[in-house]
Amino acid sequence: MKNLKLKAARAGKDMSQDELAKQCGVSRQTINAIEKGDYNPTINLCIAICKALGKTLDELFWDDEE
Amino acid sequence: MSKNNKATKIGICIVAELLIVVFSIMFIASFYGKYGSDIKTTTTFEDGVPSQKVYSCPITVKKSGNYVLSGGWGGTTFDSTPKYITGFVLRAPDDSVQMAFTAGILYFDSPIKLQKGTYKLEYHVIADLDSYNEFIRKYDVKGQDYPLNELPKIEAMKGYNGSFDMQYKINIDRSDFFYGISAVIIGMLVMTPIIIMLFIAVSTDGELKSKVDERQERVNSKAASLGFFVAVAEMVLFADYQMVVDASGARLPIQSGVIAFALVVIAICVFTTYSILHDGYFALNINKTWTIVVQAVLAVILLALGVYYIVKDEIIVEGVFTYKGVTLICGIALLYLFVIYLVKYLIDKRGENA
Repeated sequence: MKNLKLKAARAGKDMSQDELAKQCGVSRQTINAIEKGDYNPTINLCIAICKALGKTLDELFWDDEE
Repeated sequence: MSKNNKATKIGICIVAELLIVVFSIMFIASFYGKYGSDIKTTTTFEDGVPSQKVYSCPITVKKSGNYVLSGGWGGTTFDSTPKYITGFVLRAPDDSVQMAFTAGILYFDSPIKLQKGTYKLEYHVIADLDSYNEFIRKYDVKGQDYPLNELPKIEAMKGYNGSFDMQYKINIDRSDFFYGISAVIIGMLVMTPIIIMLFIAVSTDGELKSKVDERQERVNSKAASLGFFVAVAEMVLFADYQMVVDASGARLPIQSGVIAFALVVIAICVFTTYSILHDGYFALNINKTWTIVVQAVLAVILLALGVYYIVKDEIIVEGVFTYKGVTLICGIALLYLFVIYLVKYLIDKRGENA
């Protein structure tokens, strides 16, 4: 399932995938895979992404439908 | 990357390219002083008497100097090894006998001094003991007589009816000190830039250890499993194939060592293909462009060496793919990886446009 919240938060901060990847210490392809829903990140990476975007885990990774 | 760092890398790149140019010139120059002769013969015997007793072919030496002779001969098919003996005579341009021999690799009397001019290589078909003794006496053959325990085979030619296809190959190579030193320098010139480029390719700010993220680790782990299972499957198939070949008594068209090497290369290619296509191959701190450039340069060098061996007929000898084909296999593998990079690039491009 696509992670549109992450994509929107990144766009909101006017960051490219590459910039976010560098801040989190991962490859651009990894951020792309998370946004496309092809990869489930570990909690450590989730926290790193949240810190980079100034969001909470709930805001980015909690599935409201559940 | 800082300006200083970039300038250093560009400088190293220019030096490496210059070294490659020098290497290429020396590589081409090293061909000067290599001469070869290759002749195929068909000798028909009627009641033990050969249809043709002497074959000859010219060989032109373009520069006077010391030369090492080497070569080999044999039936062009596996079962056509003849029982007769071949006597070799090397005639100088003035038709005088430079050297004569009857068997074995020719390093024994090498190096020999050759003058500029066209020499003649004669191949004498010796099918009986009298002819053999006459050849030894007439051409003053010393020290290289056919091993005595091999001689009785010649008796099998008595009253023989049939024909033999033979291939003779003689190489005459310069053996001067300069050429020996050139070989060492060429080796160093090839290896040094490759090592420098590899170091640059795998290092960032002096750090050699490549860093991959958690997703790449997972991808590489899957790729390694896939490569391992492919290697196991290949080994089982190869063992099976070898057993069938052994049982049938047939001869493998490829040397076993080469097959084993090729199987390892295939397993590595499977690992790398999966890793590249799933974005796990290039570490975070690796210079992607440099890695591709280094691999492309290596591929070109290995393929060039492979083509050189093919031209010299050294990869496939008497219908068997020999160990010298290993360079060609490595070159093809690196070229294959290059194609995979390209495929991955096109897939990504298509994804971006979609």
